[in-house]
Amino acid sequence: MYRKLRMGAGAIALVVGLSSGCANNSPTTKTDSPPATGQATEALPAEAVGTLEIRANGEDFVRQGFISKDGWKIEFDHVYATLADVTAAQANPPYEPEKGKELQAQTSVSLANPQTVDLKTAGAETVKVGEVKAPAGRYNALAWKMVKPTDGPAKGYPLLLQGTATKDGKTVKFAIKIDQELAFSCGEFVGDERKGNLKPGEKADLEATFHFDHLFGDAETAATDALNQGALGFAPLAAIATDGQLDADLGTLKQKLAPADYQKFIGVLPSLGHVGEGHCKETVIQAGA
Amino acid sequence: MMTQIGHRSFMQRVGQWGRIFLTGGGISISLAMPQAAQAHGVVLQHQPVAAQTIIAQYETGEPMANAQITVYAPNGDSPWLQGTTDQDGRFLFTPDPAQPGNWQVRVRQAGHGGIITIPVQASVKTDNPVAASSSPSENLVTQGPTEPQGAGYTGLQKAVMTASVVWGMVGTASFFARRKA
Repeated sequence: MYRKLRMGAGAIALVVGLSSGCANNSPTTKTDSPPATGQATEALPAEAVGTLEIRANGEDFVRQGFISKDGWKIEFDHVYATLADVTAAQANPPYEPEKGKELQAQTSVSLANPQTVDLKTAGAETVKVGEVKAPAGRYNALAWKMVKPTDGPAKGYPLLLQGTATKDGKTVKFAIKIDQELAFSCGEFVGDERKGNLKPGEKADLEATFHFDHLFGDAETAATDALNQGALGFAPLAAIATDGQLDADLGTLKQKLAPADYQKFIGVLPSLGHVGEGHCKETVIQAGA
Repeated sequence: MMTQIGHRSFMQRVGQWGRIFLTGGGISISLAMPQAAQAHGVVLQHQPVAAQTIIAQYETGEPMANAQITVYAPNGDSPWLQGTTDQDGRFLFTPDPAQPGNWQVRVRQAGHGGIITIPVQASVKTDNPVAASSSPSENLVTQGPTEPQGAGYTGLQKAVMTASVVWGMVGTASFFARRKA
């Protein structure tokens, strides 16, 4: 009897400990796992739901071209990116990927299927990836994966860059085929305006932004800037072109580039994804994962 | 620290007389000995305020000097305050305690940017929130995370905690009672 009493007292104390921990973290926060498309809105009245649009942006670097850090004028014909598992979340506390904490979503919605978009779509500043009916609220986090599409012009490549680079009368037609799958987990959009505040019956948008100046560098930025220090530039790629053509996947690049240049190229890839100017937590998806 | 410099006009003094008049009882005394309202008098006050210093740096440690700052009140889409960091990448502002919740500060410079969230609790009281200044000061009060200790327990949790304490005491008493037996 006494032993049972003591054990009972101990068990209650443990329960209190667990309850206290939850209360201190967030007494009113309910963390849900991301639902599939539409699941989050089924039980909600129509007046509590809006339309959340997800868009992708290659910035002016893709739309207008730019000069790389080593003086190559780069103009893109197509930049195909394939996004999957695109999930927008109302995170509480607000997700700050640089702090290394996990994203805690109170509400989240996802796009149903992978979508390949061309960031060079003529006349468009940003490209629509998809839209989903979503509970109203502030969507302050966005996550997505870049996966190998099973068909289409970029089949097999999560990211495919096609275009022309010129310098001092030399021209290189390039097709850089990146078959590495990546995942990005980002906080709130950082830009000229706030995004993601979805009001009932209205439309809001979030943006997956790709910074290709991280790969090639930018002549308009100081050579000593961290951006250019970390960028590969285009000269190493031009050096492995044959007859003005460079058609290379990662295997080819690994074979032909100097090891240090290849490592720099690989190292930059995860830093391409942003939300506006906001940084993300990047993950390289291993084969078979 | 707040400094209020009073420069009272004739109309303000009339208003003061008016208020005195409305209060009734002090009329004769006030007329005979009007409260001094010097034309160039100053009124100095101070109030403690809970300010926040934003420190913006690149990952290299380089300060984000003269970076664009936008402060959003909780659930606000329009800027509550705008400014720039100083040469050390610092920016000081005082959230309005009447708007508790997650304040957010956006920092941008030359294509780089970020947002930091600052939780502000309702219990911080100031009468007049101070406008922002981008210069650091020795008088700054830096407010850290404001979640009060022990806050947020539900009634059920409090009841369970109370019950556990009582049960623990019973268990302890039973233990010693058994030893004596």
